[in-house]
Amino acid sequence: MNQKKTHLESKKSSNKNSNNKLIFTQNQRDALKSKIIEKFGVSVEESEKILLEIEKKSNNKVSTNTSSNVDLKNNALSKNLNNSKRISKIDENNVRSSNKKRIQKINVNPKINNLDEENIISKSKNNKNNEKVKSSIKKKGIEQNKFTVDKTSSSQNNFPKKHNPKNKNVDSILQNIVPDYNSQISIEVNHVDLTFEVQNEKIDTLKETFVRTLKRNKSKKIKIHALKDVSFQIHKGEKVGVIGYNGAGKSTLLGVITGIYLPDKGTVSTVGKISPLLSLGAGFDQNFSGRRNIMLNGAVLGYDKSFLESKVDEIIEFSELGKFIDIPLKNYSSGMLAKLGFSIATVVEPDILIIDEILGVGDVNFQKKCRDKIMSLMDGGTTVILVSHAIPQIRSLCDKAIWIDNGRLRDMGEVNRVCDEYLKDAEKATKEQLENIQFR
Amino acid sequence: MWVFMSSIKKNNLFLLEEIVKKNFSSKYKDSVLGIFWSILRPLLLMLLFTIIFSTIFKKNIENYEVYFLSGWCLFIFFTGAISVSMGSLKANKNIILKTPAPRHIFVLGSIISEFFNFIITILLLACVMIITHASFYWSTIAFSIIPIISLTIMITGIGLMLSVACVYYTDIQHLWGVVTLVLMYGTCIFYPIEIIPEPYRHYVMLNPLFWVIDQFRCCVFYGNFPPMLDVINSLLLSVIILILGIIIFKKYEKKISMKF
Repeated sequence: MNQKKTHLESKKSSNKNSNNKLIFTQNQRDALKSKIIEKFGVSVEESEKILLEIEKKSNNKVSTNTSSNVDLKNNALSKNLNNSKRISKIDENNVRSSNKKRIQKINVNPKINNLDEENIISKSKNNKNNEKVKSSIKKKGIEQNKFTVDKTSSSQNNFPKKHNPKNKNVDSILQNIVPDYNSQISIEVNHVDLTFEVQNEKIDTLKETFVRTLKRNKSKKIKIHALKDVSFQIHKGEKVGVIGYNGAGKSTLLGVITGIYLPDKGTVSTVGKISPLLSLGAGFDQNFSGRRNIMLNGAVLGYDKSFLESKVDEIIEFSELGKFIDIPLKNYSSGMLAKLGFSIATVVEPDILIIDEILGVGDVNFQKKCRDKIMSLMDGGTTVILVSHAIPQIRSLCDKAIWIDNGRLRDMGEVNRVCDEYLKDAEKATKEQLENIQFR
Repeated sequence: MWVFMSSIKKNNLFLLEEIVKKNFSSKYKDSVLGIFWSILRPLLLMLLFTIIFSTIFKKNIENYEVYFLSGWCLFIFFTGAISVSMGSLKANKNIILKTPAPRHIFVLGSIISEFFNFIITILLLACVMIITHASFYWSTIAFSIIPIISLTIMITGIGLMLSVACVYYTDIQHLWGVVTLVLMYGTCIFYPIEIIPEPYRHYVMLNPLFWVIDQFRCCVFYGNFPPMLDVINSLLLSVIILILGIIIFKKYEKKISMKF
């Protein structure tokens, strides 16, 4: 009830303004802002700007009902471009095309305005009778709820956690405003712990084990804590870069997500078909021809039989192997093997694409082809996880970044911010090392 | 029966098919005669054993060739399938380390490819029976499918267990060579049970592989139905072994990739 009253008040105030303007209440504004900050990783001021932009656009729409959509979009676009130019002055390197892309996504959804108008009409009819207004809102049910934001939830959480059910309202508001916004979780990693047990000297014979147990000098097992309490969520369609130093646990993390390793503690859940580009040519049999190996490798990767049969020609064409396809694999050069492996692995259209270093496979021409293929796979609603040491690559390809340090999730957020922090840290580390050397 | 439930999934079935094909064709790779070795090996052994032992056991066994081969078929299926499935996880290490493909498929794949080899030896047995003018007891031959089923279940259970154990301790593979030899002498493959002195005969009876081979011979060689209690016993034991194997395999399945 409380919610609805505040909602009504907000509507009333907008009515009083009588400009038919869509104005969010303070609570809604706060929640939306923090949502925008979290989602896009922009600063507080920028989020304010974006919010104002949204409001302006929606008000434009209401006041000039006749103006066409296209005009509006152009209008909004130019504004955004100006906006982004302004920002780019501040930091040219950081805010780049990705930012523009992001803002372009923010389009006004006509639904908001329509609903608003209806609401106002209904209100004017039943101005004195509040109860009736409430019932009319109830009828509209879910969609109306999107506009009511719980007072407590938004005031408490400056940076709301996505798990908080109260914040679903914010999600749905953003969903209405930003068409591409998707709150559907595609990868969820929950407090994952993973330890490898490694022995000093590998004992894998029974005799060794018996003798050592009798002598009681079993070499101590070294536990390598590869992942420590890592938890994050990746939404559908997000491109996430994973960065970190060597041996920080990046590849182990990918292994856990793909399901190669089972975590000791915690859970990993994924939605949709995963295509790990870590496993080029897994299960190739040297004695079979290339054609047979396509079937074998495809089966190992979990493809459908009928699907694979329909794609065989495409794979052969992409791999540029030509007549070599019917020759046993043991006669292939390593480049040819890699080409075939890549062609098989990328023939699917996965929901989740996992890449461990962008692969430069084969000769110069094929490398370009590889890159184009990966780019085309990354387009659209595909969720991408990319591990790379090439920071510029991650900046240009990803929206978000995860920084793994020593098995822990050190940072996750907007790609440029995390990358900057990472580079800063790396510089610091090397400086420290240098200093240490000098002191000695 | 999660093993079977999940292999019903279409993609897994396809993977199983490809793995079986791969195992089957790589067994005799680079050999001139290829698949014919599946026939030739038991045939040569049969000739050897017949030459040496047929005169000694003439009193007990009238058709030594069929007697030997009927035991040998099952025995070689048992030891062969287990030794292949034992190494199946290690052999497919590069797949297991790189993809989340279900692990039990590799074990099942090797057992199934060995089963095809077994069918070839059974066909050989039929040929030998025709050549030696052995009598076909059609009513009981159909019943021989039951000992084969219980043998296959037993092999699957033991294979699942040992394949995991082999990842931890490689020398189980070498140990299995010794076990094979012990089983060969302990399972009455080339001699009749009657030659074992009475106090020790009970120990031979404890060998479950002997139960299965005995039942199979009852159906095919002697032409009478094996005692129902024995059949149920061996089936029950096989199922217990399979369940044990599944439990053990499931427990260690996900740890396999971390052990290599």
